[in-house]
Amino acid sequence: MSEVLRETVLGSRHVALGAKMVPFAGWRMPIQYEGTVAEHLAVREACGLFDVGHMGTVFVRGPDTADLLQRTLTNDVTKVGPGRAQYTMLLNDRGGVVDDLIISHVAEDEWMVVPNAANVTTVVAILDSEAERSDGVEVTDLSSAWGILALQGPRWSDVVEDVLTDAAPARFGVARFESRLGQGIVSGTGYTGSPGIEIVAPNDTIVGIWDALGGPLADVGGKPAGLGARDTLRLEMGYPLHGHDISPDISPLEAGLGWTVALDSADFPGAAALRRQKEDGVPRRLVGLVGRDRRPLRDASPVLDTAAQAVGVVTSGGYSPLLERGIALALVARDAQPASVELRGRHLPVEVVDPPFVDLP
Amino acid sequence: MNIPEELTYTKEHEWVRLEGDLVRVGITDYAQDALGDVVFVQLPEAGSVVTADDAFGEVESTKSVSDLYAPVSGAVESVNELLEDSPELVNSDPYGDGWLIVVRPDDSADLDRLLSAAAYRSYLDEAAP
Repeated sequence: MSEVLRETVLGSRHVALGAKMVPFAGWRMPIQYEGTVAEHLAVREACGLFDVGHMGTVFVRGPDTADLLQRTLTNDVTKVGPGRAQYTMLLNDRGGVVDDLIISHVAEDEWMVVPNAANVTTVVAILDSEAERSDGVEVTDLSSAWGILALQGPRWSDVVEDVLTDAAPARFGVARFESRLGQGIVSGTGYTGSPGIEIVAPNDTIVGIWDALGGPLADVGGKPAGLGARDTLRLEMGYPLHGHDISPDISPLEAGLGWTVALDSADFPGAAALRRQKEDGVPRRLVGLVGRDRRPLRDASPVLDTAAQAVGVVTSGGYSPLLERGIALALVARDAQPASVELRGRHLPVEVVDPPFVDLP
Repeated sequence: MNIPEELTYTKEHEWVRLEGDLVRVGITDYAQDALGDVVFVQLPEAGSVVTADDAFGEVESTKSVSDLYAPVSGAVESVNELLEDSPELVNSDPYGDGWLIVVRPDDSADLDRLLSAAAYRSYLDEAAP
């Protein structure tokens, strides 16, 4: 059985730029243009432009929307006024992570929810069933009709200023924009650790903005950047990737994401399981590991303690272009002392660190 | 795809340059492109011995790891020390500064098994999806 891959509205742009296209979560996406390391460094030093249109765009509207989100998601939505965004989780009853999401409070009774590509269907189904239990909440899945760009890096405002005037939200700020290229939503969010914005808009507007950003991006030494750099950038910050460091079998408390969980504010799915974990102590914890040389650490490698006993597993392994070292996130037994990672028969010594792996200016 | 005429090749995507009694070995332009950004190269010590068709090292990119296979049997005369700090040379100059090792072949008959540039090119064309 062959899977038909979806393409974002920018697919032909990526190919024309010489991107290597790969399957990702049911989509054909650019993993790199010039090269992952060059694109990573462009984001850290200047700016990178990502097409992240594979992620979902779901609007939830109506007077009871905040109540719906409060009883469904882990974080406290009452702290998110209009014009603000929040990182939050959707859990199963065991406290495992169904998806991690950014929700944006666009207007008084209007929210935008951005699920990961692989989880859009699941998240929309849950929001739909919650909406049926609510009064006057409407869930609209615009994932196919809208796209998302992430403009990330210290020079982002120089790149965007002539394309979208006044598109300068604060960190986790959200605003509507109107421009000659169309309308949409801009937020001070991203998943790279570098400052920047995300632009969410109908597909034809996304194409116009992508084209208009190309010149200013090159002028500051920026580059289009692919999913390869997106992965090395988020890993360098210790940000979890769903399906790897968080999953339906890993709780946010185990992953060190307790700050996204407001156990006192609502009885969301998984809250009881998390309360038990909090009382008993989490069985596992997510830690950062740094290798001694450039050799990348790899997903699924066993993590060993000083006695060479297996105490966990690498959930995201890779390479840090800033440190020029192999780095990893690993899920290990609560009290274990990780000392090495087993990779192709070798025991590579590692140091345990509390991410982020790098200090950005 | 750059496939220099004067070199010979293996199906494992190594190239071989004859330099008097010695051969210089690297990976091809095709291989470096398929790997993506090379960030680490594990090479044998000078003075060690490699065996034709056996792994002699590893090349790691941001996303994957591949074994390096010796095109000939022999003693390693020298290794490219530049790759320790600049493994990206394998990407930027695969047939030049990105070379891997120089070997003194035990048996020059090993060289006869290697592919010409034309044969390597048609091998790539057949293997392409």
